[in-house]
Amino acid sequence: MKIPTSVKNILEIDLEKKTYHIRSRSDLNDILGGVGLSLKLYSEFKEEKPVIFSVGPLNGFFPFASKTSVMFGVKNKVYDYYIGGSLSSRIKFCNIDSIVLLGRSKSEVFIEIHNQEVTFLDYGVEFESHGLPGKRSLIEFKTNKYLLDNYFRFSGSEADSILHYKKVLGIVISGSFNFTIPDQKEYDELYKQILQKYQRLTVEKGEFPSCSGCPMGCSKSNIGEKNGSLLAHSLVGCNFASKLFNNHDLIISCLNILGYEYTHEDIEKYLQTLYNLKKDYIFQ
Amino acid sequence: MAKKILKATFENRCNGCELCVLEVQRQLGRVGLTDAPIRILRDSSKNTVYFHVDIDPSVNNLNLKEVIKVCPTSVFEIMEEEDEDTYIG
Repeated sequence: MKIPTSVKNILEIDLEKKTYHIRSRSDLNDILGGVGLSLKLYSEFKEEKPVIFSVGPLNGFFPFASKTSVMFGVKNKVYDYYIGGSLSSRIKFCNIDSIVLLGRSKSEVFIEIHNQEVTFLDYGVEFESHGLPGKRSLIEFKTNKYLLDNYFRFSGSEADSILHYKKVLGIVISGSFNFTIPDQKEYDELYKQILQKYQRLTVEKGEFPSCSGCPMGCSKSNIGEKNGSLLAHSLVGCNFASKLFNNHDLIISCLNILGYEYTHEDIEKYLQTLYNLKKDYIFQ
Repeated sequence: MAKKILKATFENRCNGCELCVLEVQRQLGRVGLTDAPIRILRDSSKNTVYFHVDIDPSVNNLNLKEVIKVCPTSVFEIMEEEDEDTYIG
């Protein structure tokens, strides 16, 4: 399928009613993605205590775009976290830009997401057998914290607390959409150029499980991130690759190859809007 | 005639980055995980994470050198496999 460049697909999940809706929203097109999308949706749904997972336009398509924005509020504070692993590519291959968990479940629940469909599973099912092999990410409550694919963590215990409060004990996400690129040859060349720039990352190569699309296997892949570069986290790239993701020329090239028509001015305007929106909240 | 085949000889080195999966999919003109001739299966049943590299024979029709090149932990080798016909007669 073609990359949907003129809409953002938002999956809203009502935990109390156990219902869901996918909304294709063209009104969110000025927002690049990631932290920008999370913040916009947080401002829309804040009364329902949302937990929002957002990806950006480069996740799944380019190296080092390997994180997922996770945003939620507790009391007056907004938490701006990022988690690695395979989650961002799975959400992208579901053809989803954001997943919004609303309200609180009445009983402990597992959520299975396959592309744009949601199944609510009762606690006690053999959850680890759900999802599609090779295409899934599994977030699961283990002892006192949530782990993604049994290794990657959220960057703070507040994320664990709010998911547990919502009685969501696990989420499995399988994405099985394949996308085609308008100019495959040019895309391939740019992909390889970026992959060769791994020396610009501000983290050492290691022998640990790596995030999808990142060769580094660094020792910090499992601990997530907090705050950081607005542009890198809109895409949603790893903050250790922010030197790459703050290069506007490179970013515009990546976006244009995928079919997005953002210009330098669009990005500058977007960052200013995002900066102003952030002023309304106290961030942790 | 010997046929070149891709083997995940050093599967224990795999860090799960999936660059090989994305490489073969790009060679096939798509981005995604469906129908990929290489799949990375995560075994998280134990206290740590292991990766199993699942290879479909159809991968051998692709540019295997690029698959080798993209892997950051040198999991793969290209082996030569004799055709069964070689031994007949």
